[in-house]
Amino acid sequence: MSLEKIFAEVFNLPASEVSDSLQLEAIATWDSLSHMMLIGRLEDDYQVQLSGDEIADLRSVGDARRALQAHGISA
Amino acid sequence: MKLDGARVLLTGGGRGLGRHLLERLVAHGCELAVLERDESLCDELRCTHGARLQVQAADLSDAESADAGIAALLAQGFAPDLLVNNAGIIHSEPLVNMLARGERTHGLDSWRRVMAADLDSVFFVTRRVVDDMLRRRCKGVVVSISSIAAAGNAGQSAYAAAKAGVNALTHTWAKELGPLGLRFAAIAPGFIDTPSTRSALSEAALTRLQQQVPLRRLGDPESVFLALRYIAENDYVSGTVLEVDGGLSL
Repeated sequence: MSLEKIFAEVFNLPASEVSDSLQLEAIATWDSLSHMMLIGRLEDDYQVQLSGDEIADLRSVGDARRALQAHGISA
Repeated sequence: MKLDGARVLLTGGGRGLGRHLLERLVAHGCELAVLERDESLCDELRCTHGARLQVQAADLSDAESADAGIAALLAQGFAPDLLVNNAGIIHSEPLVNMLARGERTHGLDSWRRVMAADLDSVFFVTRRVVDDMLRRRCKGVVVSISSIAAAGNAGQSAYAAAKAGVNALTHTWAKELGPLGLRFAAIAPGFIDTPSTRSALSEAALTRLQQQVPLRRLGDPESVFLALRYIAENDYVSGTVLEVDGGLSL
């Protein structure tokens, strides 16, 4: 599943609104719990284990894409 | 026990769900006393309801304050048939907030505040009221407001633990004091549409939760009153934790 679709599902957003520049502050449904759900979805879908720092620093769609790229994943 | 005309002690009746219960109990002709922490709400209740309502200010999370509040009511001759342990707070906080900068683990102050308000208070009030019921050999009823969060709810460590404690006390007291004719039960609401629910949960959390409820909506406070009336009036109900949650706990 595409990164955009994962964000859209986890945060209950239209996929058309998801872009790399979309940040935590702009998503009302992004809180500490949904953040954990997002990390779980990313790790399941891309079969990757993100580091604690990567999880804490992930605050936008672009951050997620860069974190995955750091693990050799093109999302 | 017929609810109409019963003598009821309600904790935390100033706002939210408790206020709805208060108004409905008054409408049913109950002789009602309220223990409420907020002095301004106490004044407002006295102004609104006058002599129909005995209002006593007390911080029920503090044993001495709870004892003093109950003693004052008993000294005025109030002898409850039904205790409704409603006072409490809702608090949401993750065990570890991965988005926080700096300290990111659940605060100790908030843990202790929730346990005191939601669990200690039930113990403090019930021990005194049940002692009075036993002295009078009143076959009274104690109904505590629990929550479906008692089964575990992400982001609510303290609240869930406190409400699980309320359920355990309900079961314990039903077994311990049932032989003397006292009944104990709890009501476990799901997400009821009150100001405290909306202030305790983020828009994100409310959206997620409503999607999980089979009935796809928050509950009405009246559904909790109907559960209270059912427990009060059915004299073979004891030890029960009655879920009022639109099917959320399924």
